[in-house]
Amino acid sequence: MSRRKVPPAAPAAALPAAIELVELRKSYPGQRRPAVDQLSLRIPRGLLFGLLGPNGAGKSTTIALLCGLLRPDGGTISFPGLAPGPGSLPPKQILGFVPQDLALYDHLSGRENLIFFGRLYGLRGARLQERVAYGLQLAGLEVRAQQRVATYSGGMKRRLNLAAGLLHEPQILCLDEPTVGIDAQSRQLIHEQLVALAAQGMTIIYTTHYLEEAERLCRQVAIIDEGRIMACGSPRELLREGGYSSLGELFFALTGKELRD
Amino acid sequence: MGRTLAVVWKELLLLSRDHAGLLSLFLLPAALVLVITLVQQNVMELTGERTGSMLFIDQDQGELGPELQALLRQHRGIELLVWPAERAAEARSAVVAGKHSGLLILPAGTGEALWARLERLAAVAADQEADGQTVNQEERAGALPELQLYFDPTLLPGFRQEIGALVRLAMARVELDWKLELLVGTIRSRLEQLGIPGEFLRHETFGIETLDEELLRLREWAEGAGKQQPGVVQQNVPAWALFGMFFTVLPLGGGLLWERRAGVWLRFRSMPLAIGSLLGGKMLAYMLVGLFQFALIYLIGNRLFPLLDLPAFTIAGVFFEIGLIVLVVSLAACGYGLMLGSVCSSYEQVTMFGAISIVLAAAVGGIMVPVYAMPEFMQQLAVVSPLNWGLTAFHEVLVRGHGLAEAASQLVGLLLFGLGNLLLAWRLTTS
Repeated sequence: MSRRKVPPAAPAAALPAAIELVELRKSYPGQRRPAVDQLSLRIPRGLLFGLLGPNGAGKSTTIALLCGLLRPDGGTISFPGLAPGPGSLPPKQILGFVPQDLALYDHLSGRENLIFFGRLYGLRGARLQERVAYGLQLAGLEVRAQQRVATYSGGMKRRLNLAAGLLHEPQILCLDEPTVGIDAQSRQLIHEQLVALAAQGMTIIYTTHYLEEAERLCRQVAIIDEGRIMACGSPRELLREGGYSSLGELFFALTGKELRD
Repeated sequence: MGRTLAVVWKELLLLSRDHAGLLSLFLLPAALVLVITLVQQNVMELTGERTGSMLFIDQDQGELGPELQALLRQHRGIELLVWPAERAAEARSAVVAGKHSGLLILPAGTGEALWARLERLAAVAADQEADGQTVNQEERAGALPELQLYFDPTLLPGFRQEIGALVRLAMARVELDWKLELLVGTIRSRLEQLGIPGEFLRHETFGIETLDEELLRLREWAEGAGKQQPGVVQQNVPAWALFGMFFTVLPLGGGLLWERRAGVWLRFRSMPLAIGSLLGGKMLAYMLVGLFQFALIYLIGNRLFPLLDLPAFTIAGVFFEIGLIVLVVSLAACGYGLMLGSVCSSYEQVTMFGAISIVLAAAVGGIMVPVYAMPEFMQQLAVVSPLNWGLTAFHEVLVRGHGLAEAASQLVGLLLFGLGNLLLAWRLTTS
């Protein structure tokens, strides 16, 4: 199948960069192709940035590299204006990470989960209580804060999962498919919260398979496949330049319609 | 430190809500120490200090019966119960049924037959001396009178031998008394034949009254005597406490595996914290659990056992030493649990491999059956089990009366085992 290459769009020049990835490489043992292959990306500060791609495209690996969960084989990751962490790793105190899996303890209550993760972020005393209250409010769980997570619905757990990543007020938030498998109301609430956080200056990078969601929410998106950037820019610019009617049409033009299992 | 304490708080909170985990960590070793101690108390009685009860039927009704009874009762380990002679069949049934360990029957006429045999033997000896001819003494002395000894058919061979030896010892003593009595009588008779009054020769002359006096004493020594002697309680209380402490590997390893698979570990790794503080927090939490486990088993041994006619378990005077051993054992168990949680890829692997390895190490290490009761090969194999190291360390302090210096090699082994596993867990969870 032939694929039309669309040159990466210029990043939002007006905004200073929050993250710069330069020729980033990462391979896994036993894999024929690198998961991330010479990937360069500039993510402007204070906007919602969508990382799109089919299964196995390298989205989660890129997020993991960004958050310091993996070490790159080559290339650099920099956070302009921020001191790097130990060993040139990302400064974890300014990064928030919301994993795709529900990283919560079912046998702790919503409040206890947030207290625990807050303490791990180094929060104490009144500040911890304040941030836990904020997290419960953000997740819409004030009423059920004392109940165990095992009794929560999928949407409630997703919202709490997001809140746990925001306890330490990160400047950069990485989300790996934060809205997968939840009801429309919970998804809508999470969208509103992400937009509000970006409006407050937080840089949010998130991966999703929901293309219409990315088109609606993200000021910039990057389409990634086989570890490389296929297109990058604002959805509107990308559609206009390629003559596509939707981000989905552009996505299939770039990545094909073959199944990726 | 704050982060480590947060992990401790979370682990203890999760464990307090895991009812199955609590049962396996506290109820299982508590039930095991109680049941196994009671079971082994009986076994050790049969093989050791107490030998059980023996029925005695005196059909002879002469002097011999009371003499034998008195001698058998001198042994503190045997409880002699005199049984009516007319209920001999009932007594044998009771022994066959295992209600008593043995039955000694003194048949009617045994005393008379014994005395007659003695006299005949003496007469044969005298004739032989007079004639200067060698004759078959046994033939002329007549048949040997017999006592009958019945055993419980399930009685252990060691105990059977011990009862047999007790009865033979009593019989030998009676024979000696009676032979001396005959000797005195014979000498008096000869003296009278020579015109010397027999009363001139008194029993005291032969020192017969000194028969009850000990001439030689066997003194048995056990190293550390004066401290507690090894027994069923000193074996089982530390053994099952150790077993319980090592069972913490299941919730500890299972919990770590779940965190690795559920995405929680990814969240941890994205946080500004060292993995060592996470592992350290888990270890600290389960070391506390280990202390509580030992405290529970100790209370059972110290308070409940005396109510069940078992000796009380005590750590008086060695509190610090025992506390240190418990901490080191707990550290070793926690390291092993964290290693399992890092190496295994499914909860089934953790539970299967964890439980099987602990039960095997317990069996090999002398937790279930004391090492000294194992075959030679298994005794040599016991030293590979960390549970054996822990048990040996307990015994060094509790039983042999040694200090920590004598238990140092076991403690160092446990420390290296725990820290080695912890290091492996750290490498695997950070890579």
